[in-house]
Amino acid sequence: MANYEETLIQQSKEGNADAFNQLVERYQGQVYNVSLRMLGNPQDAEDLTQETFVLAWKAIPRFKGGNFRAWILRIASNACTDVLRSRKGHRVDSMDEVFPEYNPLQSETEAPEDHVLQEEIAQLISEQLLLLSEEQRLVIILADLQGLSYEEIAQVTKCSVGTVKSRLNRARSNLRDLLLEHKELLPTEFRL
Amino acid sequence: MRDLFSPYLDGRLDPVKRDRMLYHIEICPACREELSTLEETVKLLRSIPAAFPARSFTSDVWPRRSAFFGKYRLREAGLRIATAAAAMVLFASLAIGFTGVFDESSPAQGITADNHQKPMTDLSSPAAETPVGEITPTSPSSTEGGDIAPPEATQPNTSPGLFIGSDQTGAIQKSTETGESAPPEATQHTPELISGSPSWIRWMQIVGGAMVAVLISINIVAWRRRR
Repeated sequence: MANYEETLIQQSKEGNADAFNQLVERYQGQVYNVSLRMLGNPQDAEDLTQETFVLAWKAIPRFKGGNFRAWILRIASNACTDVLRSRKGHRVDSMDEVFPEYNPLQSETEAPEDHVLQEEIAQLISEQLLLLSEEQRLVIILADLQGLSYEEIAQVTKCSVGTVKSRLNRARSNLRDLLLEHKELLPTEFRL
Repeated sequence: MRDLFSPYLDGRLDPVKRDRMLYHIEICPACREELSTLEETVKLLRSIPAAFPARSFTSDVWPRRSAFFGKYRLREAGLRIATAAAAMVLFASLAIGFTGVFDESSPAQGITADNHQKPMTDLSSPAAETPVGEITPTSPSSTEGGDIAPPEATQPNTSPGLFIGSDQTGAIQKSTETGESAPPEATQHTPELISGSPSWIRWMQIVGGAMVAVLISINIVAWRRRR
């Protein structure tokens, strides 16, 4: 698997668009999800995902090996930071703006009411995530939503593993405090 | 102790720390509550299903790669080259100013040449004593001086930093030798204070310094944006 990815990376470096498309297919879900949780808007997330892969295509000749997922997510997180910086001063007035068309696929085995509940929880958490600082939001997305290890997060954020640990701890504590303000919206099995 | 909760939930605590933390949890209800709520938060986060993009991001035609890493890199390199060029202009103009290669007249040379050229008898001439008489009317030589030389001739000597020709510096030297005008220290420091650099070098220094300051500021802003 890793060898196959290395082959794709090498071919992409040489300008093979098909090989690069395979890498895109492999990582577009993760890049899109990180962008969506960071920016809070599906349209912006799509634009940013596209921009990330264009940047990656241009920069891949300089990729020196190592963890390709961390590398591509670093490009995405940098692009997110740029977008958020340019947005500074513009606050989201209504939470309806946050995820206007968020609609994860419904599992076949999931009951409709469970799906609605799951969607409500996702909506609530997504809204509260946007209230965290950019740095804390990024580590929590990478660790708990994307399942990256501390070492991978350190590569994406360009900081030490120790910093990742403490930042993640603070991020989770802050998110917990924010969720506790909406206790009534949480399902009984998740009552904090 | 609370710093260990996240690593514990992620299974990243070594056995010694984990046992110590678990022991503390047993005896501390506040920390037990804290850990419990944190655990529920992590569970909630991990229960969120992944979102799926409405389209694929593959492409048949990816943008052409620039030989110099694209427009952004080109702009960045241009900025650095411009900064280096401005710094070189500034450095060169400062070096020229200090070495005095293009000096129109070196003040030190002007004074010594003037002193050597002028015969000692000139010092006792009425023309040489006249300005002195104008500065200090109470001095005895003022009666001899008369009003041959205009009083303005002495005025530029009193302002340091301005360019003064060899004739005027010579006049300073003569007046000090009579001991009736400015103190000797003033005439000794005057050549150091006077810059003989042509005005175009001063303009180079000013423009070069301003350009370096502006370009360094732009570089700092660009560097912060890249970060």
